[in-house]
Amino acid sequence: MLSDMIGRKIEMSVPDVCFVARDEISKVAKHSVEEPTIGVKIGLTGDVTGDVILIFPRPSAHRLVDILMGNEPGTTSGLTEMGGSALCEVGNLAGSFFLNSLAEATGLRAMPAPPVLDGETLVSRMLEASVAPRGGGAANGATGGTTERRGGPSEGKGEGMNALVAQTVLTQSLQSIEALFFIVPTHDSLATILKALGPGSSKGSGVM
Amino acid sequence: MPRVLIVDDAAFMRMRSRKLLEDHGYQVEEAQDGEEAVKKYVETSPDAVLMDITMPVMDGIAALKEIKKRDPHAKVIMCTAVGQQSLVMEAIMAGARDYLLKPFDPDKVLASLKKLVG
Repeated sequence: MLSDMIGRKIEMSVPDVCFVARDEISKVAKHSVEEPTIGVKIGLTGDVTGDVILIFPRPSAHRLVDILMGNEPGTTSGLTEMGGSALCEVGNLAGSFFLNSLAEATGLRAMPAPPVLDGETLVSRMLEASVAPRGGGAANGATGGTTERRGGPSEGKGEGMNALVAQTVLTQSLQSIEALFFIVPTHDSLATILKALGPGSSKGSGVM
Repeated sequence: MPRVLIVDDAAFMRMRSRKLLEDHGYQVEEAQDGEEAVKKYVETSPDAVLMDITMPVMDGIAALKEIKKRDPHAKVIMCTAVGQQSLVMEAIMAGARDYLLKPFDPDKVLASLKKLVG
């Protein structure tokens, strides 16, 4: 997708994809969880709610901006408004493609919200906000009032939450860009997805 | 010189689209959300609109419907990463003349515009 976006070939390898419980996320993300990163978050609304989150180590984000903007490598050392907008567009593509595949496999329809850029955060904190119960701190103005309140107070914060994590490496000639791609459905939505993909469903083999 | 209204909330995409269209002899107006698009459409009556869907304030489908209400002959091309079939149908039923899937393919954008406005 990025290759088409800039008209040059970019290879993408996915060394590691896993489906993990919320409290395991930090282990999966390993060291990058504690380092400042640049994140793009896309809220999901519709049959499926939750977030798609793309997280870059800062040097990788800067390299990606140089590639997207057609700059000489090493030009970007901080995030300009245009650079941030380019990263948001990458997030928008990633989130939309996930939803397109999901719709094709399951018939579930959901829309991405406009991307939100988080230029100085820790992965752990960003995920924390994402798996917190809706209607609270999750910064997402576009959830259309469908507040998720399943489980009640006995269900601890984030308990039972799952996320799909893909650790990706993008390579363009000698430039390599690391990224973490998280799909964090809300509790209800995870059940909806699994049901749609389940043995009772005629569709949906190998959606992810 | 045909005039095209580019509607996208991402400054990066507006910049790229503007450059492409101006390089190919189009005159360009910009809007960064659906509401601004409707206003600019009424003010400037462009020959065609290149419309994103995922935008704050008013999304591209709502903006398409508003523009069509004001000008049933409006030539609106949707240009979005969201390719779910039901959404494509909704856009076409609402009067969109074409539906281009991102990532942005310059040749497809130019071909679609050429067909509609020359």
